[in-house]
Amino acid sequence: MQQVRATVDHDRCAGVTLCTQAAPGAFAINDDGQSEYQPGHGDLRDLREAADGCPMSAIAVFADDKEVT
Amino acid sequence: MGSGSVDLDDLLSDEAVNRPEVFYARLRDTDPVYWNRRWNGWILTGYDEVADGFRNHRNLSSDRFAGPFGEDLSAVSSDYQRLFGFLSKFFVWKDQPYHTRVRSLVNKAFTPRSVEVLRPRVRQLVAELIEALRDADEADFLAGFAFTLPVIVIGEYLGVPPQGRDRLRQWAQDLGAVIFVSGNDEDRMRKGDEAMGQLAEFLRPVIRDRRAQPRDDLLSGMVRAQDRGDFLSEDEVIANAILMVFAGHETTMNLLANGIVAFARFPGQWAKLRDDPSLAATATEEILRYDGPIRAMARWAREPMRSGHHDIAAGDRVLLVQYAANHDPARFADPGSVDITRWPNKHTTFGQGIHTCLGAPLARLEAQEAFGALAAQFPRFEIAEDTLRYVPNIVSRSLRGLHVTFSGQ
Repeated sequence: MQQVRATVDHDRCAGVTLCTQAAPGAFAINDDGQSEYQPGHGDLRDLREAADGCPMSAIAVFADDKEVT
Repeated sequence: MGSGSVDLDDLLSDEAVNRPEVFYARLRDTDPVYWNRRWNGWILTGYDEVADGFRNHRNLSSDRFAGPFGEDLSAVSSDYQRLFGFLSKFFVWKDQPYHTRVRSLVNKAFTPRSVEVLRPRVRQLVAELIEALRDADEADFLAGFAFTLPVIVIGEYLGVPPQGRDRLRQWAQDLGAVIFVSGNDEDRMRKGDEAMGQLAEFLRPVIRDRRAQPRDDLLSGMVRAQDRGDFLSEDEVIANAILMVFAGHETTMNLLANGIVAFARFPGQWAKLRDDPSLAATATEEILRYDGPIRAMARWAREPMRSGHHDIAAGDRVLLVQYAANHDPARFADPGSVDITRWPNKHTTFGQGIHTCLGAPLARLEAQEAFGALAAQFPRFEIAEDTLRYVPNIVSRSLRGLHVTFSGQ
Protein backbone atom coordinates (compact mmCIF):
# COMPACT_ATOMS: atom_id res chain seq x y z
CA MET A 1 0.00 0.00 0.00
CA GLN A 2 1.11 3.52 -0.81
CA GLN A 3 2.54 5.51 2.11
CA VAL A 4 1.27 9.07 2.10
CA ARG A 5 2.33 11.95 4.34
CA ALA A 6 2.49 15.72 4.38
CA THR A 7 4.81 18.40 5.73
CA VAL A 8 4.05 21.97 6.78
CA ASP A 9 6.71 24.64 6.25
CA HIS A 10 6.52 26.84 9.33
CA ASP A 11 8.49 29.60 7.59
CA ARG A 12 5.38 29.99 5.42
CA CYS A 13 2.40 28.80 7.49
CA ALA A 14 0.21 31.68 8.68
CA GLY A 15 -2.25 29.54 10.63
CA VAL A 16 -5.03 30.05 8.09
CA THR A 17 -6.57 26.69 9.17
CA LEU A 18 -8.10 25.86 5.77
CA CYS A 19 -6.07 22.63 5.77
CA THR A 20 -7.92 21.43 8.89
CA GLN A 21 -11.16 21.65 6.88
CA ALA A 22 -9.83 20.24 3.61
CA ALA A 23 -8.30 17.19 5.29
CA PRO A 24 -10.15 16.60 8.57
CA GLY A 25 -7.92 15.00 11.21
CA ALA A 26 -4.72 15.35 9.19
CA PHE A 27 -3.71 18.80 10.47
CA ALA A 28 -3.91 20.43 13.89
CA ILE A 29 -3.08 23.97 14.98
CA ASN A 30 -0.39 24.11 17.68
CA ASP A 31 0.02 26.66 20.50
CA ASP A 32 1.96 28.99 18.19
CA GLY A 33 -0.95 29.07 15.74
CA GLN A 34 0.93 26.90 13.24
CA SER A 35 -0.48 23.91 11.42
CA GLU A 36 1.14 20.54 12.09
CA TYR A 37 0.66 17.35 10.12
CA GLN A 38 -0.71 14.47 12.17
CA PRO A 39 1.15 11.36 10.98
CA GLY A 40 -1.02 8.52 9.78
CA HIS A 41 -4.04 10.69 9.02
CA GLY A 42 -5.62 11.80 5.75
CA ASP A 43 -5.79 10.10 2.38
CA LEU A 44 -3.95 11.29 -0.70
CA ARG A 45 -6.98 13.12 -2.11
CA ASP A 46 -7.64 15.14 1.05
CA LEU A 47 -3.96 15.93 1.60
CA ARG A 48 -3.63 17.19 -1.96
CA GLU A 49 -6.71 19.34 -1.56
CA ALA A 50 -5.19 20.83 1.59
CA ALA A 51 -1.90 21.51 -0.21
CA ASP A 52 -3.59 23.00 -3.30
CA GLY A 53 -5.83 25.22 -1.19
CA CYS A 54 -3.14 26.60 1.14
CA PRO A 55 -2.83 30.32 0.31
CA MET A 56 0.68 30.36 1.76
CA SER A 57 1.82 27.27 -0.25
CA ALA A 58 3.12 25.84 3.02
CA ILE A 59 2.07 22.20 2.55
CA ALA A 60 3.91 19.50 0.61
CA VAL A 61 2.51 16.01 0.07
CA PHE A 62 4.54 12.86 -0.41
CA ALA A 63 3.53 9.44 -1.69
CA ASP A 64 6.12 6.74 -0.99
CA ASP A 65 8.56 9.56 -0.15
CA LYS A 66 8.17 11.19 -3.55
CA GLU A 67 6.67 14.69 -3.60
CA VAL A 68 3.29 14.84 -5.30
CA THR A 69 2.65 18.06 -7.23
CA MET B 1 13.98 65.98 19.09
CA GLY B 2 12.12 64.72 22.14
CA SER B 3 8.85 62.89 21.90
CA GLY B 4 7.16 65.77 23.72
CA SER B 5 6.51 67.55 20.45
CA VAL B 6 4.83 64.55 18.85
CA ASP B 7 1.25 63.67 19.70
CA LEU B 8 1.23 59.89 20.12
CA ASP B 9 -2.57 59.89 19.95
CA ASP B 10 -2.62 61.45 16.47
CA LEU B 11 -2.53 58.60 13.96
CA LEU B 12 -2.87 61.11 11.11
CA SER B 13 -0.07 63.49 12.10
CA ASP B 14 2.50 64.37 9.45
CA GLU B 15 5.00 62.04 11.13
CA ALA B 16 2.50 59.15 11.43
CA VAL B 17 1.47 59.45 7.79
CA ASN B 18 4.78 60.26 6.12
CA ARG B 19 7.40 58.78 8.48
CA PRO B 20 5.66 55.75 9.95
CA GLU B 21 8.94 53.99 10.81
CA VAL B 22 9.74 56.85 13.23
CA PHE B 23 6.22 57.26 14.58
CA TYR B 24 5.46 53.60 15.22
CA ALA B 25 8.90 53.02 16.79
CA ARG B 26 8.07 55.83 19.21
CA LEU B 27 4.74 54.21 20.00
CA ARG B 28 6.28 50.74 20.39
CA ASP B 29 9.00 52.12 22.71
CA THR B 30 6.35 53.85 24.82
CA ASP B 31 4.12 50.78 25.00
CA PRO B 32 3.55 48.08 22.35
CA VAL B 33 -0.06 48.01 23.56
CA TYR B 34 -0.97 51.67 23.78
CA TRP B 35 -4.31 53.23 24.65
CA ASN B 36 -5.08 55.93 22.10
CA ARG B 37 -7.53 58.44 23.53
CA ARG B 38 -8.37 60.00 20.21
CA TRP B 39 -8.98 56.77 18.25
CA ASN B 40 -10.59 55.46 21.41
CA GLY B 41 -8.91 52.08 21.26
CA TRP B 42 -5.74 50.02 21.68
CA ILE B 43 -2.87 50.43 19.21
CA LEU B 44 -0.72 47.27 18.97
CA THR B 45 2.77 47.80 17.53
CA GLY B 46 4.86 44.86 18.82
CA TYR B 47 5.32 41.88 16.48
CA ASP B 48 4.13 39.29 19.00
CA GLU B 49 1.13 41.33 20.07
CA VAL B 50 0.06 41.97 16.46
CA ALA B 51 0.56 38.36 15.35
CA ASP B 52 -1.29 37.05 18.42
CA GLY B 53 -4.07 39.55 17.74
CA PHE B 54 -4.52 38.27 14.19
CA ARG B 55 -4.67 34.66 15.36
CA ASN B 56 -7.06 35.36 18.21
CA HIS B 57 -10.26 35.46 16.18
CA ARG B 58 -12.22 34.10 19.15
CA ASN B 59 -11.70 37.23 21.22
CA LEU B 60 -11.05 39.75 18.47
CA SER B 61 -13.91 40.21 16.06
CA SER B 62 -13.70 41.34 12.43
CA ASP B 63 -17.44 41.99 12.28
CA ARG B 64 -18.03 45.53 11.00
CA PHE B 65 -21.76 45.27 11.43
CA ALA B 66 -21.67 44.72 15.19
CA GLY B 67 -19.79 46.19 18.13
CA PRO B 68 -18.23 49.68 18.10
CA PHE B 69 -17.77 49.81 14.29
CA GLY B 70 -21.31 48.61 13.69
CA GLU B 71 -22.66 51.62 15.55
CA ASP B 72 -20.83 53.95 13.14
CA LEU B 73 -22.15 52.05 10.11
CA SER B 74 -25.76 51.62 11.15
CA ALA B 75 -26.11 55.40 11.28
CA VAL B 76 -25.59 55.59 7.50
CA SER B 77 -26.36 52.13 6.12
CA SER B 78 -30.09 52.65 5.51
CA ASP B 79 -29.33 55.51 3.11
CA TYR B 80 -27.06 53.37 0.94
CA GLN B 81 -28.74 49.99 0.73
CA ARG B 82 -27.01 48.63 -2.35
CA LEU B 83 -23.62 49.43 -0.89
CA PHE B 84 -24.28 47.99 2.53
CA GLY B 85 -26.35 45.08 1.24
CA PHE B 86 -23.26 43.70 -0.46
CA LEU B 87 -20.70 44.94 2.05
CA SER B 88 -22.55 42.97 4.70
CA LYS B 89 -21.89 39.80 2.67
CA PHE B 90 -18.11 40.37 2.57
CA PHE B 91 -16.68 37.47 4.51
CA VAL B 92 -13.63 39.54 5.48
CA TRP B 93 -15.90 41.50 7.81
CA LYS B 94 -17.52 38.46 9.35
CA ASP B 95 -16.67 36.01 12.10
CA GLN B 96 -17.18 32.27 12.27
CA PRO B 97 -19.26 30.44 11.18
CA TYR B 98 -20.31 32.60 8.18
CA HIS B 99 -16.71 33.58 7.46
CA THR B 100 -15.51 29.99 7.54
CA ARG B 101 -18.25 28.76 5.23
CA VAL B 102 -17.81 31.43 2.55
CA ARG B 103 -14.04 31.56 2.78
CA SER B 104 -13.65 27.83 2.25
CA LEU B 105 -16.04 27.89 -0.71
CA VAL B 106 -14.28 30.83 -2.38
CA ASN B 107 -10.94 29.27 -1.59
CA LYS B 108 -11.84 26.22 -3.66
CA ALA B 109 -11.89 28.47 -6.72
CA PHE B 110 -9.11 30.90 -5.76
CA THR B 111 -6.13 28.65 -5.15
CA PRO B 112 -2.38 29.24 -5.64
CA ARG B 113 -2.58 26.64 -8.41
CA SER B 114 -5.31 28.50 -10.32
CA VAL B 115 -3.35 31.74 -9.83
CA GLU B 116 -0.08 30.26 -11.11
CA VAL B 117 -1.81 29.56 -14.44
CA LEU B 118 -2.00 33.34 -14.92
CA ARG B 119 1.78 33.86 -14.78
CA PRO B 120 2.47 33.91 -18.54
CA ARG B 121 -0.37 36.37 -19.13
CA VAL B 122 0.81 38.61 -16.25
CA ARG B 123 4.32 38.53 -17.69
CA GLN B 124 2.97 39.62 -21.07
CA LEU B 125 0.91 42.47 -19.54
CA VAL B 126 3.92 43.66 -17.56
CA ALA B 127 6.02 43.70 -20.73
CA GLU B 128 3.37 45.78 -22.53
CA LEU B 129 3.05 48.29 -19.69
CA ILE B 130 6.83 48.62 -19.47
CA GLU B 131 6.99 49.83 -23.08
CA ALA B 132 4.97 52.92 -22.16
CA LEU B 133 7.33 53.64 -19.25
CA ARG B 134 10.39 53.36 -21.48
CA ASP B 135 9.36 56.26 -23.69
CA ALA B 136 8.13 58.58 -20.97
CA ASP B 137 10.00 61.28 -19.12
CA GLU B 138 8.60 61.37 -15.59
CA ALA B 139 6.11 58.56 -16.19
CA ASP B 140 3.03 58.42 -13.98
CA PHE B 141 3.87 55.09 -12.37
CA LEU B 142 0.69 54.93 -10.28
CA ALA B 143 -1.80 55.43 -13.10
CA GLY B 144 0.23 53.96 -15.96
CA PHE B 145 1.49 50.82 -14.30
CA ALA B 146 0.66 50.17 -10.66
CA PHE B 147 -3.11 50.76 -10.99
CA THR B 148 -3.50 49.32 -14.47
CA LEU B 149 -1.82 45.95 -14.03
CA PRO B 150 -3.90 44.61 -11.11
CA VAL B 151 -7.20 45.89 -12.47
CA ILE B 152 -6.65 44.15 -15.82
CA VAL B 153 -5.45 40.97 -14.13
CA ILE B 154 -8.39 40.68 -11.72
CA GLY B 155 -10.86 41.48 -14.52
CA GLU B 156 -9.47 38.73 -16.72
CA TYR B 157 -9.10 36.23 -13.88
CA LEU B 158 -12.70 36.74 -12.78
CA GLY B 159 -13.86 36.47 -16.40
CA VAL B 160 -15.42 39.92 -16.66
CA PRO B 161 -16.40 40.48 -20.32
CA PRO B 162 -14.09 42.93 -22.16
CA GLN B 163 -16.78 45.60 -22.52
CA GLY B 164 -16.94 45.88 -18.73
CA ARG B 165 -13.24 46.23 -18.07
CA ASP B 166 -12.90 49.96 -18.60
CA ARG B 167 -15.87 50.56 -16.35
CA LEU B 168 -14.30 48.20 -13.84
CA ARG B 169 -11.53 50.76 -13.30
CA GLN B 170 -14.02 53.45 -12.31
CA TRP B 171 -16.09 51.13 -10.15
CA ALA B 172 -12.95 49.92 -8.43
CA GLN B 173 -11.89 53.49 -7.71
CA ASP B 174 -15.27 54.53 -6.33
CA LEU B 175 -15.52 51.46 -4.11
CA GLY B 176 -11.95 51.83 -2.91
CA ALA B 177 -12.76 55.37 -1.80
CA VAL B 178 -15.49 54.07 0.49
CA ILE B 179 -13.58 51.20 1.95
CA PHE B 180 -10.07 52.59 2.41
CA VAL B 181 -10.88 56.11 3.47
CA SER B 182 -12.16 56.78 6.96
CA GLY B 183 -15.09 59.09 7.57
CA ASN B 184 -18.45 58.97 5.84
CA ASP B 185 -18.67 61.94 3.52
CA GLU B 186 -21.88 61.97 1.56
CA ASP B 187 -20.56 62.30 -1.97
CA ARG B 188 -18.18 59.39 -1.57
CA MET B 189 -20.87 57.16 -0.07
CA ARG B 190 -23.28 58.04 -2.85
CA LYS B 191 -20.67 57.21 -5.51
CA GLY B 192 -19.82 53.96 -3.74
CA ASP B 193 -23.50 53.05 -3.61
CA GLU B 194 -23.87 53.79 -7.34
CA ALA B 195 -20.76 51.79 -8.19
CA MET B 196 -21.90 48.85 -6.09
CA GLY B 197 -25.34 48.81 -7.73
CA GLN B 198 -23.98 49.08 -11.27
CA LEU B 199 -21.25 46.52 -10.76
CA ALA B 200 -23.71 44.05 -9.22
CA GLU B 201 -26.17 44.41 -12.10
CA PHE B 202 -23.33 44.11 -14.60
CA LEU B 203 -22.11 40.89 -12.97
CA ARG B 204 -25.48 39.22 -12.39
CA PRO B 205 -26.18 38.15 -16.01
CA VAL B 206 -22.53 37.12 -16.45
CA ILE B 207 -22.79 34.83 -13.42
CA ARG B 208 -26.04 33.33 -14.74
CA ASP B 209 -24.32 32.68 -18.03
CA ARG B 210 -21.41 30.96 -16.27
CA ARG B 211 -23.85 28.78 -14.37
CA ALA B 212 -25.29 27.57 -17.69
CA GLN B 213 -21.97 27.45 -19.54
CA PRO B 214 -18.96 27.26 -17.22
CA ARG B 215 -15.66 28.62 -18.46
CA ASP B 216 -12.16 28.45 -17.12
CA ASP B 217 -12.47 31.57 -14.97
CA LEU B 218 -12.97 32.52 -11.33
CA LEU B 219 -16.66 33.44 -11.67
CA SER B 220 -17.34 29.93 -13.01
CA GLY B 221 -15.17 28.51 -10.24
CA MET B 222 -17.17 30.31 -7.55
CA VAL B 223 -20.48 29.24 -9.10
CA ARG B 224 -19.32 25.61 -9.13
CA ALA B 225 -17.57 25.57 -5.76
CA GLN B 226 -19.31 23.27 -3.33
CA ASP B 227 -18.69 21.86 0.07
CA ARG B 228 -20.79 18.82 1.03
CA GLY B 229 -23.77 20.03 -1.00
CA ASP B 230 -23.43 23.69 0.03
CA PHE B 231 -22.97 26.34 -2.69
CA LEU B 232 -22.53 30.12 -2.78
CA SER B 233 -25.76 31.98 -3.58
CA GLU B 234 -25.90 34.31 -6.58
CA ASP B 235 -25.63 37.38 -4.35
CA GLU B 236 -22.70 35.81 -2.51
CA VAL B 237 -20.85 35.21 -5.78
CA ILE B 238 -21.53 38.85 -6.74
CA ALA B 239 -20.37 40.13 -3.33
CA ASN B 240 -17.17 38.09 -3.53
CA ALA B 241 -16.43 39.18 -7.09
CA ILE B 242 -16.84 42.80 -5.98
CA LEU B 243 -14.66 42.17 -2.95
CA MET B 244 -11.92 40.89 -5.26
CA VAL B 245 -12.22 43.87 -7.58
CA PHE B 246 -11.59 46.45 -4.91
CA ALA B 247 -9.37 44.37 -2.62
CA GLY B 248 -7.27 43.26 -5.57
CA HIS B 249 -6.45 46.56 -7.16
CA GLU B 250 -5.75 49.22 -4.55
CA THR B 251 -3.56 47.01 -2.39
CA THR B 252 -1.50 45.64 -5.27
CA MET B 253 -1.14 49.13 -6.71
CA ASN B 254 0.32 50.35 -3.43
CA LEU B 255 2.59 47.34 -3.14
CA LEU B 256 4.09 48.04 -6.57
CA ALA B 257 4.48 51.78 -5.91
CA ASN B 258 5.92 51.33 -2.41
CA GLY B 259 8.36 48.80 -3.85
CA ILE B 260 9.70 51.32 -6.35
CA VAL B 261 10.26 53.81 -3.52
CA ALA B 262 11.99 51.14 -1.43
CA PHE B 263 14.33 50.20 -4.29
CA ALA B 264 15.10 53.88 -4.91
CA ARG B 265 16.36 54.03 -1.31
CA PHE B 266 18.38 50.84 -1.71
CA PRO B 267 19.73 50.86 -5.28
CA GLY B 268 22.19 48.08 -4.45
CA GLN B 269 19.22 45.75 -3.90
CA TRP B 270 17.78 46.74 -7.30
CA ALA B 271 21.11 45.84 -8.94
CA LYS B 272 21.12 42.55 -7.05
CA LEU B 273 17.65 41.66 -8.33
CA ARG B 274 18.72 42.64 -11.85
CA ASP B 275 21.72 40.31 -11.60
CA ASP B 276 19.70 37.43 -10.21
CA PRO B 277 16.03 37.29 -11.30
CA SER B 278 15.50 34.19 -9.14
CA LEU B 279 15.44 36.58 -6.15
CA ALA B 280 12.09 38.04 -7.28
CA ALA B 281 10.14 35.87 -4.81
CA THR B 282 12.14 36.77 -1.68
CA ALA B 283 12.44 40.38 -2.91
CA THR B 284 8.65 40.58 -3.04
CA GLU B 285 8.37 39.26 0.54
CA GLU B 286 10.89 41.88 1.65
CA ILE B 287 8.96 44.72 0.00
CA LEU B 288 5.77 43.38 1.62
CA ARG B 289 7.56 43.56 4.97
CA TYR B 290 9.42 46.83 4.51
CA ASP B 291 6.55 48.89 3.12
CA GLY B 292 3.45 46.85 2.40
CA PRO B 293 0.21 48.36 1.12
CA ILE B 294 -1.63 47.99 4.44
CA ARG B 295 -0.57 49.82 7.58
CA ALA B 296 -3.05 48.30 9.98
CA MET B 297 -6.28 46.34 10.40
CA ALA B 298 -8.96 47.09 12.95
CA ARG B 299 -10.68 44.59 15.24
CA TRP B 300 -12.83 44.84 18.34
CA ALA B 301 -12.84 42.68 21.45
CA ARG B 302 -15.88 40.44 21.55
CA GLU B 303 -14.53 38.92 24.78
CA PRO B 304 -12.12 40.43 27.31
CA MET B 305 -8.49 39.51 26.68
CA ARG B 306 -4.92 40.24 27.67
CA SER B 307 -2.31 41.84 25.39
CA GLY B 308 1.13 42.90 26.57
CA HIS B 309 0.65 44.28 30.08
CA HIS B 310 -2.94 45.32 29.54
CA ASP B 311 -6.41 44.00 30.01
CA ILE B 312 -8.55 44.68 26.96
CA ALA B 313 -12.23 44.95 27.80
CA ALA B 314 -15.15 43.57 25.80
CA GLY B 315 -16.23 46.18 23.25
CA ASP B 316 -12.80 47.87 23.00
CA ARG B 317 -11.39 48.74 19.58
CA VAL B 318 -8.03 47.19 18.72
CA LEU B 319 -5.77 48.32 15.87
CA LEU B 320 -3.23 45.73 14.69
CA VAL B 321 -0.44 47.79 13.13
CA GLN B 322 1.22 45.52 10.58
CA TYR B 323 3.71 48.16 9.49
CA ALA B 324 4.96 48.43 13.09
CA ALA B 325 5.12 44.66 13.60
CA ASN B 326 7.11 44.34 10.38
CA HIS B 327 9.65 46.86 11.70
CA ASP B 328 9.94 45.41 15.21
CA PRO B 329 13.69 44.96 15.86
CA ALA B 330 12.86 42.16 18.31
CA ARG B 331 11.68 40.12 15.32
CA PHE B 332 13.60 41.41 12.28
CA ALA B 333 17.33 42.17 12.19
CA ASP B 334 17.99 45.66 10.85
CA PRO B 335 14.30 46.23 10.04
CA GLY B 336 14.89 49.63 8.44
CA SER B 337 16.99 48.11 5.62
CA VAL B 338 15.79 46.28 2.54
CA ASP B 339 17.47 42.90 2.11
CA ILE B 340 15.95 41.03 -0.82
CA THR B 341 17.49 37.76 0.36
CA ARG B 342 15.88 37.95 3.82
CA TRP B 343 14.45 34.53 4.72
CA PRO B 344 12.53 33.45 6.70
CA ASN B 345 10.49 36.61 6.48
CA LYS B 346 7.28 36.16 8.42
CA HIS B 347 5.87 39.62 7.94
CA THR B 348 2.30 40.32 8.98
CA THR B 349 1.28 42.13 5.79
CA PHE B 350 -1.22 39.47 4.73
CA GLY B 351 -2.35 39.02 8.32
CA GLN B 352 -2.23 35.72 10.18
CA GLY B 353 -4.88 33.20 11.14
CA ILE B 354 -8.28 32.60 9.57
CA HIS B 355 -8.49 36.03 7.89
CA THR B 356 -5.10 35.75 6.15
CA CYS B 357 -5.35 37.43 2.74
CA LEU B 358 -7.07 35.17 0.23
CA GLY B 359 -5.46 37.12 -2.61
CA ALA B 360 -1.91 36.68 -1.32
CA PRO B 361 -0.87 34.29 -4.12
CA LEU B 362 -2.11 36.73 -6.79
CA ALA B 363 -0.49 39.78 -5.17
CA ARG B 364 2.78 37.87 -4.88
CA LEU B 365 2.68 36.75 -8.49
CA GLU B 366 1.98 40.25 -9.84
CA ALA B 367 4.71 41.83 -7.71
CA GLN B 368 7.27 39.15 -8.57
CA GLU B 369 6.65 39.60 -12.27
CA ALA B 370 6.59 43.40 -12.07
CA PHE B 371 9.72 43.91 -9.95
CA GLY B 372 11.62 41.21 -11.83
CA ALA B 373 10.83 42.65 -15.28
CA LEU B 374 11.35 46.30 -14.27
CA ALA B 375 14.77 45.50 -12.80
CA ALA B 376 15.70 43.51 -15.89
CA GLN B 377 14.67 46.34 -18.25
CA PHE B 378 15.89 49.39 -16.35
CA PRO B 379 19.27 49.43 -14.64
CA ARG B 380 18.47 52.82 -13.14
CA PHE B 381 15.47 54.95 -12.33
CA GLU B 382 14.83 58.19 -10.57
CA ILE B 383 11.81 59.31 -8.59
CA ALA B 384 10.55 62.61 -9.97
CA GLU B 385 8.73 63.90 -6.89
CA ASP B 386 10.09 66.71 -4.70
CA THR B 387 8.59 65.12 -1.62
CA LEU B 388 6.76 61.83 -1.37
CA ARG B 389 3.38 62.37 0.23
CA TYR B 390 1.08 59.66 1.51
CA VAL B 391 -2.70 59.67 1.81
CA PRO B 392 -3.58 60.50 5.43
CA ASN B 393 -5.21 57.22 6.33
CA ILE B 394 -4.94 54.84 9.27
CA VAL B 395 -5.26 51.58 7.36
CA SER B 396 -3.56 51.96 3.98
CA ARG B 397 -0.08 53.03 2.93
CA SER B 398 -0.89 54.83 -0.23
CA LEU B 399 1.16 57.41 -2.16
CA ARG B 400 -0.59 60.51 -3.45
CA GLY B 401 1.52 60.43 -6.59
CA LEU B 402 4.59 58.69 -8.00
CA HIS B 403 6.30 59.93 -11.14
CA VAL B 404 9.39 58.04 -12.17
CA THR B 405 11.96 58.37 -14.95
CA PHE B 406 13.23 54.94 -15.94
CA SER B 407 16.54 54.67 -17.80
CA GLY B 408 17.23 51.97 -20.33
CA GLN B 409 20.55 50.33 -21.12
